[in-house]
Amino acid sequence: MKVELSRGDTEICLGLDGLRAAPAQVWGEVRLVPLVRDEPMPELRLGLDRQHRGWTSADVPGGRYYSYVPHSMVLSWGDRAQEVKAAWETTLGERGQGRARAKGCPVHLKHGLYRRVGSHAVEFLPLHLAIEGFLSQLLKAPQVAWREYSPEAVRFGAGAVCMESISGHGVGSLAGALSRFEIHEGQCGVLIYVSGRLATAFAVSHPDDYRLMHHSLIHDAYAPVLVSAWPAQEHELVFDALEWGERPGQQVQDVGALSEVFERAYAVWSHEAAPMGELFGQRLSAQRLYNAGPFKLVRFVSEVVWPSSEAHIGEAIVGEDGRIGYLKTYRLSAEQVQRLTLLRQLEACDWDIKRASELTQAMYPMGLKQKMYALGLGYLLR
Amino acid sequence: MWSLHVARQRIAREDVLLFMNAARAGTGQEEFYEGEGEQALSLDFLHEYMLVNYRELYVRTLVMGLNHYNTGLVVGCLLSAGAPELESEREVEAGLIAAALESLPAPQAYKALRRLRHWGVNNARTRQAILHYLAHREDLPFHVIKYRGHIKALARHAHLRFGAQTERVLFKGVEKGGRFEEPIYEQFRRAHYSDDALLGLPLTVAEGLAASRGVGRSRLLEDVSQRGGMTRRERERVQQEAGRVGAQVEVDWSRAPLMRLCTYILGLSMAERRERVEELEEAWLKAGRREWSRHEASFKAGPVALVVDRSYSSGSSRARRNQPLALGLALSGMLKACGQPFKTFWSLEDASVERPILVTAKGQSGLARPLLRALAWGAKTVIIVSDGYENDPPGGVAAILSRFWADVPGAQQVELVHLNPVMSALQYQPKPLAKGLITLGVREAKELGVLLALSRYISGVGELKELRTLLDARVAAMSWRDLDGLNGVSASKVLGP
Repeated sequence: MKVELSRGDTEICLGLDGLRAAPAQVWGEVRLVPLVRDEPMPELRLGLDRQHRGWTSADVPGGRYYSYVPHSMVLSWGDRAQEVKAAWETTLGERGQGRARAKGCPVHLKHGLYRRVGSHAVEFLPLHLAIEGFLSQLLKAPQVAWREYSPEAVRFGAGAVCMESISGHGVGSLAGALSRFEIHEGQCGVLIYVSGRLATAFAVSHPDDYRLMHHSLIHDAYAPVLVSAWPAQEHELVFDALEWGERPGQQVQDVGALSEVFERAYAVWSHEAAPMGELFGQRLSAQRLYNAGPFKLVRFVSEVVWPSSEAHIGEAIVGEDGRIGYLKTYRLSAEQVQRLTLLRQLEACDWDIKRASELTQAMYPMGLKQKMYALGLGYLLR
Repeated sequence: MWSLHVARQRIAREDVLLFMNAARAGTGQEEFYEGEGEQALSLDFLHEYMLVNYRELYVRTLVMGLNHYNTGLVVGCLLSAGAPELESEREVEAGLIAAALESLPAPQAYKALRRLRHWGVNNARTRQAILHYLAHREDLPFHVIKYRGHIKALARHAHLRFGAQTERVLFKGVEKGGRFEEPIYEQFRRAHYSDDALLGLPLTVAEGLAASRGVGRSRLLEDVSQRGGMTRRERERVQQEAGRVGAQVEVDWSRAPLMRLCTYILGLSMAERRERVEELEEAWLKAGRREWSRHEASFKAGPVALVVDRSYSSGSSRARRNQPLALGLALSGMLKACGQPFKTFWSLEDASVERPILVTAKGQSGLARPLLRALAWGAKTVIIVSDGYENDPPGGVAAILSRFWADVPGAQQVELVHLNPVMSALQYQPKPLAKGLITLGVREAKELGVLLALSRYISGVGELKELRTLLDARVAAMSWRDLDGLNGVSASKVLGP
């Protein structure tokens, strides 16, 4: 996979070099598309640590972050990148100490969501990096005290934002799919589609690492919007179009010709069968978090292009040449996306509601203020 | 009226397909893509449906190679219904029931008969069947010791009468009352307090007593090679365990039935298979030849191609480990002896293709390419073995076949059949691969002949009377020493010493 980092490191574009999509398998409403690497990246290794799972609070630049954390991930790079063993000898935080400890959060991370744990190793909370980045963007508050805003909003901002996710156990047939389908040789990642929509893209650098992490996908957070689709049905893209392999005017006269037609149609079908346009090839606004040797740990939010309501947030580890060593994404619901879009639009207009209303008249026929109320942003208004 | 007749025929063909699929592959165990408990309900309904609507054919399914579970169900259903009206049918039915019970392994036969008690069925034919079965046991005291639970239950149900010693063993308890004259009863009595006597008993009986008396397992297996009274399966089960305690048990794999051998081979680790590759391959080929000579299938035309799905899902679930793949391996071995040009096309071609006993359940379920290769090779009979779940690409076989039948000349001469070792409880039949391709559930490789005949009937290529001819020949070939069927035993017979 390749990533283009623009100069300011604020925009990236994901591509799929080095990773190949293998035939998908469908179980219930879940479709797994395996991603296979022909050449693993041995200079980057990843591993999971489930030692300190539980409710966690962390001090982050924007305030404090609370969440249920199923596992932390350890990244090790360089010539001495070794296989990360499951029982890593670190503590994420002191249990129960410090006056910052919140009730019900046995683990408190003073250092934030990621930290160095060795000369060439970093430990971080996968997916939470991306979620925290997204939520902190929702904390945007008016910087200019226009009349329409409430004084509390201008002074204190949003206060707190929260986001609900469900674990993989709640996503219908995901448990069945993960346990039933074999892991390919060289498989380093997977695209998970639920009811035809891309739920998450996950990729690591080495097949041995992936093999250990495949089943942990059941513990990750998924967007609730994925399970509210009704009815849940099999989303198998059946191969039924041999016509794609036919040349115009060609007659299928014997088995040899039939085989040729099949091979050509198969090549076309396998390209169609894993539509990844939602995430790949799009511009994503990114933030660089950490430089791990030649690799960069970034998190990103996809730009929302009206009128699509497709958006993903995620994190990635990108090498110098743009190759992706690690990728994990999370799909946002339409409402969350719209909230973010609206706040960005306000910000772009210097928080002037009148100007923003004029600019967005087409997008929000009910009016900008009404839309803010509808999206739950009414606390900003007087 | 003619169209009604045709419609009835078509419905009959579909019903037969439904039942044969369900009765061949359904066992109530867990499959790779299903769970337990979903299968039991559908089988009972189907048996009742067939019994009521197609009783004559239903009776004759007993010679179509149903699995043990369904054979027991057919016997149970026939006994619980009244006797048929036609005298000739009554004879045939009685003979087939007796032969079916005889063909079942003893525990299955007892379970089948006990099921009638569970259903509350106690007519004259049932009592006669139970009496007949027990009266024809060659070594009844052995059965009394080994299956005393079953025999006790059946005795109460059928009001059986036993000899004095047997009655004591079954109902009164062996500990009181002094010595027995029957040697195995005496051994059984002494085993309650003597370790030496324990070693002389059949293994399963000894296991139970040993557990209650606290005798260690290694002590029990000490002399296990000398021990008689073990069935083949018990011998196999003990073989591996005995190896751990250092005792030797001989199982002669060169004489094993084909399916058992294939399941055994696939259960071995790759290292062990490579180590014993000549021995296993020879046993496999020999078993295949033996199976073919006993259960020949008739092909309309050669060459014959076998397309086998060896994907990951053919390793099936814990309860039926490797069963679908074992079937593919067994058919591959059996058809090598068929006398026609024959080739196997696997869904994944790797080094194990040269030596099929090294095959593992690996890879994607891609059947389209092997099928095309088989057709290109010039096969006139193509047998596809797959669990119906195809993912590389899904619907590939259907797409190819529809174009093959539509456009390629000579396509109608190729006989195609899909054999599926896995039943889907949701649809009462195994998952099909393509419309127009007959899908039949299958249990053992030896059923190939019957299945081909069945598929010709169902697809409309053959008529019912051809199928009936085949079945009647099989009924006549059943050797049953007592030509009176169930009637050869008088109701007041006293069983056992």
